[in-house]
Amino acid sequence: MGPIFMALLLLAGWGAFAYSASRRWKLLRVGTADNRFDQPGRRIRETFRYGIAQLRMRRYPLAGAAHMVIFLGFGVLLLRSLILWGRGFDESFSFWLFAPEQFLGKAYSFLKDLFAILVIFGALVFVYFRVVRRLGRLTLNAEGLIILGIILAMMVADILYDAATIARASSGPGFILYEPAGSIAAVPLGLLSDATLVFLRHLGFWTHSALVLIFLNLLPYSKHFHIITGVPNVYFQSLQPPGRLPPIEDIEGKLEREETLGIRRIDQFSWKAILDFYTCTECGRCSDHCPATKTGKKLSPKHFTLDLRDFLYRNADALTAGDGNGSVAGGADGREHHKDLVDGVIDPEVLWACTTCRACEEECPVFISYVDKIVDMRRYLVQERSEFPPQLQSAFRGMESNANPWSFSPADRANWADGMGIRTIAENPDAPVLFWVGCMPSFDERAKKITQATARLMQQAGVDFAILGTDEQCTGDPARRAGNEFLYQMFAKANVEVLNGVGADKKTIVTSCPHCFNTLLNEYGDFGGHYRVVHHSTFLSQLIADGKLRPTNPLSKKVVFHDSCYLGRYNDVYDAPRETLAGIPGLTVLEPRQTRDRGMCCGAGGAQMFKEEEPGTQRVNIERTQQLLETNPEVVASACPFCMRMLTDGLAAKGREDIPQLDIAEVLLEAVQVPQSHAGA
Amino acid sequence: MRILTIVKQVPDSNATIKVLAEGKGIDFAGLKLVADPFDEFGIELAVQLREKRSDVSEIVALTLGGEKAGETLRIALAMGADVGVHICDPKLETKDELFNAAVIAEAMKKDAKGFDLILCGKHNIDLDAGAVGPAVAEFLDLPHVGAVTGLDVSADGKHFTARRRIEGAEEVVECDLPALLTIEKGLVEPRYPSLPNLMKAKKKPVTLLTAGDLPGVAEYAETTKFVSISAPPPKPECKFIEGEPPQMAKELVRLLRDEAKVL
Repeated sequence: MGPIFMALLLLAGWGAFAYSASRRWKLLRVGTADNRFDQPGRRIRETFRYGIAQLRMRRYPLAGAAHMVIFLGFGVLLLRSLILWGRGFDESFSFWLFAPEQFLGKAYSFLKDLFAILVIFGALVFVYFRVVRRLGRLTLNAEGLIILGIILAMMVADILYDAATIARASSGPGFILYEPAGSIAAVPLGLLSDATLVFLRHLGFWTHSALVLIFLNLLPYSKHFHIITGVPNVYFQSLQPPGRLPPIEDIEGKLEREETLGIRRIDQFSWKAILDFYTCTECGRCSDHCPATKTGKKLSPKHFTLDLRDFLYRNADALTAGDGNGSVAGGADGREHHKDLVDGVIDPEVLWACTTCRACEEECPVFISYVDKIVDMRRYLVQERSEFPPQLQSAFRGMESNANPWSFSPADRANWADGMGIRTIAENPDAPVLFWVGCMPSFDERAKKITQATARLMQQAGVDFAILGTDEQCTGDPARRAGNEFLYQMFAKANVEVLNGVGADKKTIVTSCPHCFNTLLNEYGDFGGHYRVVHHSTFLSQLIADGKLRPTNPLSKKVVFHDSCYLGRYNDVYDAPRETLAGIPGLTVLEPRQTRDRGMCCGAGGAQMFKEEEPGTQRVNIERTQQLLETNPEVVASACPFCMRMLTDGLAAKGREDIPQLDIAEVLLEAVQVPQSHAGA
Repeated sequence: MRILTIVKQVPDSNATIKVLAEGKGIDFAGLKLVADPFDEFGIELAVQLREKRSDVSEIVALTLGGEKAGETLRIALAMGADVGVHICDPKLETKDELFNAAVIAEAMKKDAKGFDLILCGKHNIDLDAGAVGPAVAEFLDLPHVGAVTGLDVSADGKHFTARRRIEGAEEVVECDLPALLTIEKGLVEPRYPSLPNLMKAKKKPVTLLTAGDLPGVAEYAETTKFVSISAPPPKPECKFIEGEPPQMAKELVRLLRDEAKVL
């Protein structure tokens, strides 16, 4: 149908694409090194689950279904495009086995027609979301509509080509079973003159053939780049526990060599981060679930990624010119592409609004990471520029001077245990269980009650446990999440030394604080501390299962449970706290609408606890309290001292102090028969 | 304009102080020591003056104390002081404020270039004493303004206007430089030194001075005699009286009469 024209079309289309792709490839290599080539077996499995089967897309059922249809349709129609390109040279070209007279050809024809129709429906669903529903998570712009227009036009053109071919057939138009779409469309076309049909056939053919190439060339410049980068991005996802932030290695050496601590410039992101930027589909699921976005803060994870991506693309030429290649050292040199990202690309307020709750990462269908990038940028702000919300300074100084962010006297750390008959590890070195208390549960008057309840329950169950007493220090988590990696590492090293010194690697560490739990379990490995760490919710539910705790006192209460991010999304502990509650006779566990992996953050994580909330339209804890109140609970239960503080404040702000806010251990203690004298039990 | 900031190393305000046997002093073993937070106001103010003005030529941080006090000097240098002076000699260690002031004044006399502005905290949190600043000013025959909460230095660097809170009012003082100012909380918020600045601080020069360098000190005698130190008595436990107001009142009277024996 015009071999010379088709040859020119293919040459131009693929040539332009090769140029764009090579530019993107070069830009990708500007990123710093990051080994994501380990564990190929696990990576392939993950790719099948999330890249091919797109399990995360299903979290939005209709959009997920529409996307799946388009995704499969593209796969099916890829062959069709190749056939059409071939027919530019040889009108009867059909890849042999796929020729119309072969069975495979007929089957494929049918499949292709089916998917052409399905893709049209899928694309219409997306048009509906964008234009009619105008979903807040999506940005209504020309790009999205042009792409959808191209997809629709490709499908229509393909059907038109078939229909005109059928309509012109010498045998006269008839219904061809394996070309249902073309056959139906051929019926009205039968009324047209042959010359018109020839024209329409060519129009369909060339429109389809050309649009595929135009589409291909739009990919590297649009959010549809994910068609190419999505599957690799899933393959190269981080396989580390989500709770582990990569440490900055050799901080003092980096300081000596004047290398940046954290991320200052765009070329200090890793190649995988750049692949993240390429891959963002702008679907906005991240921002849909972000507690900061929901409460009107400047942070929207989607726009965080897009702002970095756009800056990267704007400076692509300068960055690939050679001097920026993988450079970690150095900083401002006045050149635009080397400028500090916090000076005009990402507002520091955006970085400080993040609660590190990981709702965005849990939701992203293509596994873009956010928390590590935000913390890396905080690391630079805090450690090098010493710029951070002023309230954090007292937390840092408190940790430095008193090993806890509130500056309580370290000598008072074990005062909560006074008169409880609890021994320290020095007094009971062989105890198989080490109760890691944590700062807030050690010092805060309210949180101490969680600690005492947990200890009483363990005593009740006959658990032989010990505490570190005044040798315990902050894990460093608030410093780390706030970007003060140097301070965090001081605590990590000191605590690992203490823990290894008491043989904690051969014990079970129990803690009621999900932040301590996460740090001890997932982050101390980098500093030589490998421990079996159990959150008290898991430990208590196990004691119930083993019959060592018998919650026999009925508690006829409706209890709504709030998931802690560092317990649930970070460490997949969803069932244990619910089981702990559900074992109590008469108690009903209520679930808020936003629950488990979609549970909304209380607002305290990521060092938010120690600073003022960034400006917004609502406070995160009040928003979350509202969600919990919608279940009409009689008790609000949590499993984290930080959540407790935020929710207690939230209930007070809502004028609902009549609803008690209890830790699961406190609820359980009420249901367990406690003898008058627990000491020495 | 050359600025001197005087910094003292003190126990952290939240540290638990243990008294040595027989009240001989406090136990410094394992005690967390920090730069006095009021003196940090002085350092911060000096650094902010340099950031705002073009005529600040040098900021010198001075401390008097044992070897460990050098850490405090590093904090001052990390916050932005240029050079340090560490007067370190067991022979000069005393709790006498006036003697300490004399030592500092003698050290300053050794500085040929002289200082236009001397800053220190309104008082130190360890002994709650605030005599060093004014005494240094006296020994050097300089004007002194205490507990400053507002400061405006003239463009030519020759005069300043300081504000200070007094009972029920605010006092505005105009004065010529050189002068010594002690700083009250609220004027500035000390910065958190960045890591690169902490590294740079390690390389900044610190001059060590001993008693031998300050022969003039011999002229002064200690005026305070240290007798002993003791911990405050522990707070007695609170007792909550519950019930209806009439019964509560009765119970209170009974307790005051029979237990506290104050009625």
